[in-house]
Amino acid sequence: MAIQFYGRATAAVFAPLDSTSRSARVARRLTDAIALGLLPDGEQLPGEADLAQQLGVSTVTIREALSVLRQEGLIETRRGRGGGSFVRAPEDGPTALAKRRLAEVSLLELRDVGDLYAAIAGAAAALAARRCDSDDVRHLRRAAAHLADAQKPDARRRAEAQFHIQVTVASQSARLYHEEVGLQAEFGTLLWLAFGDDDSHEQMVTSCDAVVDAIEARDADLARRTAEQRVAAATERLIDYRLSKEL
Amino acid sequence: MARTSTAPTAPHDPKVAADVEAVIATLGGMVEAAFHVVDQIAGLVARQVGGPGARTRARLAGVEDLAGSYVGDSQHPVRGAGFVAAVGFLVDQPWWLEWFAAGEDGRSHRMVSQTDPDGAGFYDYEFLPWYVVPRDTGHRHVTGPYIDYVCTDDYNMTYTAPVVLEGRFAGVAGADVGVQTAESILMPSLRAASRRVAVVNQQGRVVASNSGRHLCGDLVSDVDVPALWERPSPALHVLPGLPLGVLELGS
Repeated sequence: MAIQFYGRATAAVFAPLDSTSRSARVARRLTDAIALGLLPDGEQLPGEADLAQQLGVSTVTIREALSVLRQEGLIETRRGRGGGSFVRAPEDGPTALAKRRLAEVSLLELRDVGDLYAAIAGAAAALAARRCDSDDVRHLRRAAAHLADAQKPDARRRAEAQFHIQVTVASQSARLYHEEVGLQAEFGTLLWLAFGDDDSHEQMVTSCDAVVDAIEARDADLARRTAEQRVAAATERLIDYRLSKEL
Repeated sequence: MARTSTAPTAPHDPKVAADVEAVIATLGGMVEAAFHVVDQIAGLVARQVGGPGARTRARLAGVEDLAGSYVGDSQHPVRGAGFVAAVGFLVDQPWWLEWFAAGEDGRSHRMVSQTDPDGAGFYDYEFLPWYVVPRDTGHRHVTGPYIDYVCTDDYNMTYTAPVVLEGRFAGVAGADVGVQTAESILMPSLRAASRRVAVVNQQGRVVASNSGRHLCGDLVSDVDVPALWERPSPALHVLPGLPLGVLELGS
């Protein structure tokens, strides 16, 4: 087949839809869920046909993805009555899984995802400053207080995720909300390797409070800047972590 | 289904222009279609759970068929409906959502949510406005437009009414109408209007309008809508007892 050249701008239209294969993406999604603890140890996965329908891929794709997870020891498949695929959380915990993921990611990729996340978080905060009502501000304050009160790393991670979800909810943008959820699954797992201790927690509480203050003041520019800075600082911290550790 | 025929709106006011009246009637019709579903579910729950015997989840059995008959009907604006029990009301499930929503296939599906407070992703509805307002006021409420991040992941409006049994708050019956559906229902009358009008909630958040500067989810900034709600104004036509109205935006 001859490849037509349509000029630079249109080239994007004919670029491959996604460089990773579908089965790899399914495997990545399930691995992230196990790493995040969303799929706990011993949890039974839905059947192949149900998974295929839910994720909108073929059963062949699901089978490929499950075989990858099986090879990595993340699921165990039992045959016969009461059989199915069951989650086997890694013995060294979800953190080890996230570390393995981080080791596969280049610094350039980390910065790239961080830039995208900063853009999403900034846009959501700016829109929230324009569109929030008093209920939204109350919910954001409540989420920020939950974060401040959280003691264990896992509770802190969930409270922080919840806070950022609330910002996108206040932005009234369904697309930004979905981007935030997707980025949390993809990037959040990795970010949390470098977070959770008291020092970083304090910083995070301060930066979240600053975002709410700007939103409540209806200062869209300040809200955007504050949210972007928060993500940029978090990405930097993760890159430092990646550089400092033997993964 | 007749979306506009049974619209009970404010008593006819000769000072309200016909084009604005048409928007009010369309809005009233949509709201009544949603509350018709809510009221039927509330009635069913009251009949099944009221009276002697332990209040268990099993007594909500009929909600599935009733909610499903609307949710599974692609011609009906309601895309989700059900009953959410007051916290601690059911003896076997302190938190419980008997809720059904339209799936990708257009059919009605049970919404499964985490009702164990210690579980990951616990659905804590005890502070959400569609639950709190009917509980605290004893009246119907319309929540939204809002991004329903805990449930359908969609941009929604939720219509709820309290269910009270023997003087005790038992939970809320509810129905969801997506904002895109609301827009398609409201748009013809909005487009036909000869002046700029917006359907807004009490906070001044736009549901739909015929002005590109006032899209769904925006806050009306040039008028203090919450203040207008307190004192009657010729520019704002409130649906009686509900946080929804039609606002004339001026030229």
